[in-house]
Amino acid sequence: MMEDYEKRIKLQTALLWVLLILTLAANVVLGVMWDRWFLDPREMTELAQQVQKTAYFGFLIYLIVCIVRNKRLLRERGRMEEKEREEKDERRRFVSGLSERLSAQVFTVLLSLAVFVSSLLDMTAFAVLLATLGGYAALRLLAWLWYSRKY
Amino acid sequence: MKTRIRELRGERKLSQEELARAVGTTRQTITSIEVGKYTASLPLAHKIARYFGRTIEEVFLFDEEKEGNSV
Repeated sequence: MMEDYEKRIKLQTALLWVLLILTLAANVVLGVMWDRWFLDPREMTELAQQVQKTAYFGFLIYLIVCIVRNKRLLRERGRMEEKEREEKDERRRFVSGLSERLSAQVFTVLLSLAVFVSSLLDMTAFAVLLATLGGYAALRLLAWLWYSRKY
Repeated sequence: MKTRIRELRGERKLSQEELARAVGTTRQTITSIEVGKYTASLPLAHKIARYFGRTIEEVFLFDEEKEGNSV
């Protein structure tokens, strides 16, 4: 049991490293190709630039924190055992399931509202939000079909 | 659902944390089961009952009317 969890943590850490390298590489590629693919940064608002930077660096920091946390878990067996027990705890999973269901329902309503409002104001934003809503609906349907076949 | 977990723990002078570790769950889950806020799954109920050397029916007191699931 514990060995399986250890293997999972090691695999997760390796994937996090790959994701970290890809994120850094994406930054370089985007920097080089920016003029060809995207808006002139001078056309972006201050807020858009700030959000972009925060999202990018926030994601990088999140990945690094996850890697450090996993390394610490692998070093300290007692902590790993505790973490495994917490992750496998059925009540915690039940509570997570309930909160995820509620937030998914609220998210669907808010996204639908955003699609409606953007259709009145901006066609690019409307196209992006509609694609997001469509993708999200397709994902939910696929997940439902997959789980209903599994159970 | 009512349970006799607290009583059985008391007999053995066992803390919630110790029971949780023995059955592979967390102290919070044991607390929630004891106060009736959370109903344990069948595998967990089985583990708890087996730990105390009892049957599931002896540890978990199923109230058919209150649970609203008549078979």
